[in-house]
Amino acid sequence: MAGAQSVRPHSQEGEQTSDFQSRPLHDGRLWVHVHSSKRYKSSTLDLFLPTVLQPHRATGLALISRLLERGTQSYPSLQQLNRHTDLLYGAHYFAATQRHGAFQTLRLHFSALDDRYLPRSEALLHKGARLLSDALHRPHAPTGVFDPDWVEQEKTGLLNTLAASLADRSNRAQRRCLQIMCASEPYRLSADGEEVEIKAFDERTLTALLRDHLEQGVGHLYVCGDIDVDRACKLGEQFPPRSDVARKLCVGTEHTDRPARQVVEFGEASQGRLIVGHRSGIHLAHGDYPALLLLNLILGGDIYGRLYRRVREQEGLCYHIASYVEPMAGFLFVEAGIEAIHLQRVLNHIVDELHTLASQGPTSEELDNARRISLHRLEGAADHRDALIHFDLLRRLAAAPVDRLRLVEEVRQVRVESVRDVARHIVRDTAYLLAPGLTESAGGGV
Amino acid sequence: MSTEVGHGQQPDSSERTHAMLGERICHHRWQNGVQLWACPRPGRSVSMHLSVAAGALHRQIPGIELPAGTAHFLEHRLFEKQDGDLSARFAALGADIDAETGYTHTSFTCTVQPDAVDPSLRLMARLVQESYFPTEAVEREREIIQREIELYEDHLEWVAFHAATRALYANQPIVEDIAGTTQTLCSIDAETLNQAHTHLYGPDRIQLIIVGPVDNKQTPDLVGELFGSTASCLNTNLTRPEPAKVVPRRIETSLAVSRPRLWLGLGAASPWDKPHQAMQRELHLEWVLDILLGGASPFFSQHYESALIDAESFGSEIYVDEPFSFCLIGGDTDDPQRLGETLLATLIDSQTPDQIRADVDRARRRAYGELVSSFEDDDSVREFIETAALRSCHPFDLVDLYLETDAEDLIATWDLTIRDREAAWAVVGPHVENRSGD
Repeated sequence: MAGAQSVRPHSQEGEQTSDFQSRPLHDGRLWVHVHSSKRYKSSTLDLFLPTVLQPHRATGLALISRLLERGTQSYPSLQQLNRHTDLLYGAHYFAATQRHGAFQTLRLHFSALDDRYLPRSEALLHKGARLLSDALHRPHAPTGVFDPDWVEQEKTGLLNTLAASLADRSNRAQRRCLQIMCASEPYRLSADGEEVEIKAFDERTLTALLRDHLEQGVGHLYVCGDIDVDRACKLGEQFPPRSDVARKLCVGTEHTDRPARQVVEFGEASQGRLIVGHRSGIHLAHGDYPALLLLNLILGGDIYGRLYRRVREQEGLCYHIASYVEPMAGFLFVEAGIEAIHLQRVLNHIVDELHTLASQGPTSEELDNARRISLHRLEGAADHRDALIHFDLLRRLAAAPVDRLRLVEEVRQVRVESVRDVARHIVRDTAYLLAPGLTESAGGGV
Repeated sequence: MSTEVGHGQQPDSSERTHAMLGERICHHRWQNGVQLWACPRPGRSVSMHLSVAAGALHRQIPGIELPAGTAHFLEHRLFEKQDGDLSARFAALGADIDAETGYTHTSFTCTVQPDAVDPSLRLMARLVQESYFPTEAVEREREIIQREIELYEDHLEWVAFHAATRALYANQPIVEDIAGTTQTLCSIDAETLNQAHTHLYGPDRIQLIIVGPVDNKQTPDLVGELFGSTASCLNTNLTRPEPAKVVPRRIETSLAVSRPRLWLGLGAASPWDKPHQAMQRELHLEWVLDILLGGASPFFSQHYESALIDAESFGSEIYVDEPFSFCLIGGDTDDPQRLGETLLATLIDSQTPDQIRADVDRARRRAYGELVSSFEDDDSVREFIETAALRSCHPFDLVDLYLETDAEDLIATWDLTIRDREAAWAVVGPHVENRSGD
């Protein structure tokens, strides 16, 4: 069923989906995707420069994103840069690295009010495109490389950020589960980088890494707001062409027959954080992806999910339990806050519910409810440009031919049998528990 | 422009349009006190928010003092009715439903497709109007809430916020966890919940905010049918929370985090009897803090570069409600003492009036952008209306406040709320001994 072409084939003239009109620039090395709408009071620019997550490089790009937020040659200090965006009627600018499955994207964002809400025409979006272009191509580099003082400050800053993130018990459990589950796959890496790799970078290596990153692969510029495609493409022309041949990025997941692992580590925590990672082999480009979406809602997508009703409401074993899907890899995760002594009971409930779904499928009522929720969210996403951008970028990176409205149609077609069949493909890989305990353990298995 | 149309059993209704924002807001108030704010705008879903003026601080009801955590317990138990769990019925409508308990309000938010607005409203009415508290379910809920409390015990944001309220208000009710404690949970039973529901969920405490593609006649009519005809027989004034008195001190709390978190707390008497003034104070304080400590300030640049602060955690939060008015300023730092002293020196600097006058145009442009952006999506529109409505103000009056503010207003607010205030200190971090002092 799914997988039918719903996106016009790529061409030099561009393509059209339900949400974006897209055109290639610079021989297809930069694509401009335009969502024209008067719904918003501001317009946004989002430039994504993706690459496959790689050790060392991921950390370098995370440091670069912080440096790009500090200033440009035109605004060579944090205060000047922030003052500049404030004077553009509170425009927002940020640079960040983000994770999309096995990909890391360097993202630059700018948003500002439309002219119709300003006392006079200011062409703020044009100024924003200039700012993003300057940040990438004319960063503050007084001697031809990044300012060494800034580099040292941002190395300290990134160390603090990573430490704070891992001090959050839920983040730490999610991170550790992925590291164990995907030990030889890029999914194990974080888009924020690794603490131990930070010290290896200096102003020269980071400047060279930015130059290298700018020349590789295909970039995507999303323009959303009260703007037409021609004007949006003019904005895209502010970004110089990337010189390397555009390469297709492709990442798969491991097929593994190894038995499921159960890992317990100890740390200072008031309550155990459980993350159970499953592989389904069904990712965004797969025909059964709509059925996986519904299975997730039926299992633990929200307060009407089976796990919520059984583990929380009937058994009183936890306050929080939910499941979610990683669409690029087809992973299904269940997370819960539990007492360590209840680990086996909770795991048994998860196994039992998945087994029941695989043998009997959901009830018609469960399927209908999940379908309504899913359709509401997919259709409602049309009012949220961040959600549209996120979905469109994911499907491009995953080389998935389905667009949002096509996915809506496919969700309408999902049958009880499809959900049952998908449940049969779900295999537990790793159950990870961060348990309260006096001693920290780096990788003890149970 | 405003048109008044009050008559008989019909609600008092008014409608205002803001030309600059291109938005329209309709207000309806029924005789029993129920209010509806509706902002009709195009879209594919409708955001509905039902707020009950009953929160963790509403502990005194006639004849009984409610244990800490009662309002939160009640919110948990309202979904189950005699004929089953309403969550499943919301799900059958494709609705996303969420609930939250605060200090002075309990709220239920439902997002739904336009064709399911009516049945969802009917469910929301049942949610707050019907009480059903079987003993066994109450016992089970106690365990779930206990797990919820445990889950937040190592949550830095939560622990630091509570340390800050303790530093500001010593042992007053505001310092108790909204969810209660293991001890207070034990004294909440079905009878407690029934009493609380009877006294705290009257129609005069109920306010609805609906944003999205709704029918401007049909939806108010339905709200009137569901909420506008119930009798209000209880005296709201009997259950008002006591104003909290600021008693600043220093609190240090141990928590296994990577670096200490400092909150400096500045408290003042709440100007709640003058709602317009409360809103003004909150808005002006936001501007003053932006000028003195925001991203474009010399303070931020200098101390970001010296690593005394970081961009992720440093900032300020302002809380103004009926029983309290305070702001928290701070973030993660290696040296909480130095950060606190540096912040206080900056906040009371005698040059501040000149700095405000010099920077007010930048702050105004930034604030203007944030104001207009508040009307971009349904959820932020709903939050904006809620902020104004909970202060008994029309949302467009809040817009006008933005546009009318000048430097002298900001200097007056700085003088009143910051200049001579004694700060409370809350430090949460590793290797910190749990202690409190005056």
